[in-house]
Amino acid sequence: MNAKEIERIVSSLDKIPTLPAIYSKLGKLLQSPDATIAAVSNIISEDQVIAAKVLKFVNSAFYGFPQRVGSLQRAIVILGFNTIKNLVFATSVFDMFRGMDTGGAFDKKNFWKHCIGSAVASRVLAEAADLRNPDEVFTGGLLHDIGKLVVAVHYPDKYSAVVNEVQHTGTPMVESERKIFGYDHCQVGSALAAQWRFPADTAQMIGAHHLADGAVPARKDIAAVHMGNILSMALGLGSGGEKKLATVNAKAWELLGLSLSSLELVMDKIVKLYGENTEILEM
Amino acid sequence: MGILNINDLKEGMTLAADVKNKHGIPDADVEGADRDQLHQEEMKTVSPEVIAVIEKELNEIFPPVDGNELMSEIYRIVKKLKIRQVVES
Ligand SMILES: [Fe+2]
Ligand SMILES: [Fe+2]
Repeated sequence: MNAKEIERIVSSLDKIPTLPAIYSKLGKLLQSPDATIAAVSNIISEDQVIAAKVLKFVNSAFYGFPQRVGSLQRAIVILGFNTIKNLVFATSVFDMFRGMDTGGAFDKKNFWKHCIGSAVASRVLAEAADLRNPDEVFTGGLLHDIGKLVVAVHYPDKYSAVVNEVQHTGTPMVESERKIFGYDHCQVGSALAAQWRFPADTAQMIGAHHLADGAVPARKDIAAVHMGNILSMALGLGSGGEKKLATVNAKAWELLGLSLSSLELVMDKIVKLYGENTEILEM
Repeated sequence: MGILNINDLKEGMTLAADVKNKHGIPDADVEGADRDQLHQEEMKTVSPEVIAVIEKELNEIFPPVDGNELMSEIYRIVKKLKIRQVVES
């Protein structure tokens, strides 16, 4: 199926929530010349739940600031507009999906853990590889499998067939999805990203995270999410429903430019940050 | 000489340089110890049956890693972390 057909299918799904108003307002403001620290802070403050989460996140071990960041304005000064927008984005998308019922064989609880684990792993890889946008990579990791959830919510029985086949045979999920649905969760994820007007980079991290053997990742952030997904599963941080680990794409590893000897520190850090932050992320 | 996690420091090792903190992870440069050696040390504290169970679990989810340096290293690290979890539990 081509991208247009997938987009048509996704736009016809009736249980897809609209992004909260605060996100589009923030997006508009940041594109205008009126984007001041006070204006951005005012918009975020309209949603107290999101405001509280942004502050918690800023004060988490991901940033490791020596002193507590007490106000949104201060958080914006420290992190910058883009990172703040990303944090608002990640927390609101995450929230929208939490209430959705998947039913069937899809294990939602482990799925969320897998999303968080992959987000943390992708971010740690991005930092280790000196990428300029670790928070965007975090968001990409958080949402990389969002297509699975969307399909499972709309077709619980059919998606149970995918989950069961994968568990019994070890077939990769994308293959089973293509067989049973005619499309896979990467295609659905990137169509959804387009519908929501996600940043193009995020949409590509979602759409390309399963780099087939020999495929060349277009950018380092895609490579980080690809590998973050595999590392989180190897480390047993939740489960996206896959039975077997995929092999890390050799080109992705090469592109990240990390050394084999640095991998142990990277993986230790993933485990540590995941342990310290699941509570913040799951709230 | 090898870079070790601070948790791996054992009595009798000699520090080659000051303990430093890189990316928030405490490191220490230790003379005469490399990771594999340390891994062997850790393995000795766990019974072979337990290691066999851990290996079986890992072999169920890992693809064959032979000939793939990166996947072999991921396997080694995950195995080490699992052994450590058992030791600490
Ligand atoms: Fe996936
Ligand atoms: Fe995944």
